[in-house]
Amino acid sequence: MKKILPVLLFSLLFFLVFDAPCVLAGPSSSHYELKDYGFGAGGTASASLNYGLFGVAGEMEASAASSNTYKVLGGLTYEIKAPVPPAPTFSNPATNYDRLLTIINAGTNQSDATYAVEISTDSTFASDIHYIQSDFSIGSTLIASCFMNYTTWNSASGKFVTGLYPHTTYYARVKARQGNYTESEWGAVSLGALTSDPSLTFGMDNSSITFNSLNAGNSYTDSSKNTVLTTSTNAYNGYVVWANESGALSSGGDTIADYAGTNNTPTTWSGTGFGYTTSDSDLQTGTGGSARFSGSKYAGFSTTPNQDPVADHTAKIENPSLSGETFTISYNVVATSTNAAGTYKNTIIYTVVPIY
Amino acid sequence: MIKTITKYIAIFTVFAYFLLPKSAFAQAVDYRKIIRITPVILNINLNPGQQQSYDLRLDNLINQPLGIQLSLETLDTTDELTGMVFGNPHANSPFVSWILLSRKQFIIQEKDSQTFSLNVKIPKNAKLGSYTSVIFITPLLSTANQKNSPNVISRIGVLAFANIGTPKEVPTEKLAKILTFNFDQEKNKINAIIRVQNTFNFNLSSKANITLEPILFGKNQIIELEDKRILAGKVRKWIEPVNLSNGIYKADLAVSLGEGRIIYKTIFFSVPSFTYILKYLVILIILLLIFLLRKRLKKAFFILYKG
Repeated sequence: MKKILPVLLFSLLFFLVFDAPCVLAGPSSSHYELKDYGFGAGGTASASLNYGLFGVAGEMEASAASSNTYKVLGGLTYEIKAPVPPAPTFSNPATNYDRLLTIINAGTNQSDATYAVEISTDSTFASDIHYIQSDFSIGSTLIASCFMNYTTWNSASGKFVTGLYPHTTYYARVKARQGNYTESEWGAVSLGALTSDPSLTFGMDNSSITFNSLNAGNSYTDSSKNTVLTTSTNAYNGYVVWANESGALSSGGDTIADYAGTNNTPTTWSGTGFGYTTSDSDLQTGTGGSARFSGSKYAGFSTTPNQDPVADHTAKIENPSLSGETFTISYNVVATSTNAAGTYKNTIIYTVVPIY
Repeated sequence: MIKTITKYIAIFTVFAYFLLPKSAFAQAVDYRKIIRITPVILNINLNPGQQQSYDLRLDNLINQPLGIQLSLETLDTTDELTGMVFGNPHANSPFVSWILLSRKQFIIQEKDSQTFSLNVKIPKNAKLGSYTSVIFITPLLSTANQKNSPNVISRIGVLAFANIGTPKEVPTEKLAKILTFNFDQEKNKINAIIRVQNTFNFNLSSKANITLEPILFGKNQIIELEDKRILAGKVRKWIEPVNLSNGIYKADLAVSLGEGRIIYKTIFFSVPSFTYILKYLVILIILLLIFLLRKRLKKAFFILYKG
C-alpha cells in the first residue's frame, strides 16, 4: 500500500502539469474547421437572463440608412434589438411645480430590459432635449447610467423627475436596452404634462381676540380664546409659521407682561402674563424639541419677527399637495389684581413662508 | 276716479318693486382661506445687465375687500434646517436694491384677483452667483384694527432665488461636501443626521438617499430623503428618523446635486452605538477584574479596615 501511494500521487501531479487542455471541436467539413466560437480582440459577449449574444464592436452588417420617414438599422443588430417601449405616462398628479411623475410602460420588453427617458418642452423633440439621470434629475447628456431597470423606475408607481421649470409643458419618450447590442429607437411621445406654479393659501379664523373681562370672579384669567391657522400649499418642502407681537398688552402706561416661558423652552402655566401654546405637536422648526409644546406648555410672544415658530409642515409635499392643514394657537392671559382697569391691546403677527 | 287711483297705485307698485333697494343679508365670511399667492417661490435666472419683470398673482378668497401691503426684505439663510432668517440688517444682499415692486398698496375686491410685478434689473457689474430676497404680503381685513382688543394680522412671504450668470462646469466634488453623516442614537430613537455644504457660488438642488446594509443578517434598506435647495456657500441639514434593529451596519450616503452629479460618503455604525457597547464592555472588564482579583482585593480591604 505504501508503495502504491507515491506512484498514485506522482501520476496525479504529472497529469495536472503536463496534460494538454481539452479542445472541443467546432463545426467542420472536409475543407474547413472552426476551432473556436470566440472573436478576436474586438469581440465582446453580451448576455442577460433571457438571451446571449456575441458581437464585434464597431462592425455591422450594414450601415444605418434613414430619411425623414423611415430608418433601417444594421441587419443582425436590428433583428434582435429590444422592442420599442410605448409612450410613458407623464403626469402632474399633485400640482407640483418642479417635478412630474414618469411611469415607464415596458410594452413587450423582457424583465431585465433597461430604460432611458428623454424629455423636452418640444413635442417634436427637435430642441430643448434633456435626459433623466440616475438621480431622477435632468441632464443634457444620455449616459449609460440613464438606463435603469423597471424596478428602479419604481415599476407601475413611477418616479418623479425633478429640476423642471414651473408652468411649463413637458413631453417624454422612452427607449429600451437589453444587453450591449439591443437598444431600441425612441418610443412614442407621451401626452404633454404641465408643471404648476408654487402657491400658498393662508387664512386665520379671526382678526382680533376679545378676552373676557378680567376680574376677581375669574381670577383675572381667560384661557378660552384662540386663533386657527389654515394653510394649503404645493410647496415641496412645506411651510413654517412664525409669531410675534408689536409689544406687551398695554393700556395707557400699564402693561400685562409677556409670559416668562419661551418658544424654545415653553413651560406649564404658572403665575401671570400673556402667552400662547400651539397644537403643533411636531414642531420641527426652532431649537427646542419637536414636542416642546405638548401638554399645554406656554410661551410668551416675542417682539422680534420670524424668531418664534408656532406651526410648521416640514415633511415633503409631493403627492398629494397639502390642503387645509390647521393648527390652533391658544392664548392665556392672567392679569394681576394690581393691573389698572382699562382696555389692554397689542397686535399679534403670524408670518407664513414656504420652506425651500 | 277709483280706476285712476288704482292705475297709479299699480304703476307705483311696479316701479317700487324694481327701483327700491333690496334687503341685503350679510354673508358669513370664511376667514380660513383668505388669500392665495402664486407663485410663492420665484426662481430668477438672469445675466448682468439684464432686466426682467415677474408677475405675482393674489387671489382674494373671501367675500369682502382685502387691503394689501407689500414689503421687500433680505433673506439670510443661516438656519440649516429651514434655512431662513428674514430682514437681517447684517445680511449682505444688494439683490433687494435691484428689485422694484410695481405697487406697494392696493385693494383686491371680494373674490377677485390682482397681479403685481417684480421688476428686476441686474447691474452690468453685478458679481456672478446666487442671491436671495423675500417679498412680504400683508392682507388687511376691513375688520382689522379693533380698538379694544388685541389684533391678529398675517404676512405671507414669497421667496425669490436668483442665479446671476451661468454656472461654470466644475468637478462634482468641488460643488459641495458632506460635513456630517452619522446616526444619532438617544433612548429608543435613531436619527440619521446629514449636513451638506454648498461650496459653489450658485444654488444647488440636492436630494439625498441612504442605503443601509446590515453586515450580518437582514435586508438592505433604502431611505429616500426629501429634496432640498442648498444656497451658495450655505449648509443644509437633514434629520431623518430610521427604524433599525440591533446589529452592525454599513451606510452609504449619496447626495445628488442635479444633472446626475452625485457625492458619496460611507460609514459603519452599530445599534446600539459603539460608545454604548464600549461603556458596558468597560463595566464588564471591571467586574471581571474584580472577580479575578477578588482574593487580593479582599486582603487589601481587610488591611485597610483592620490596619
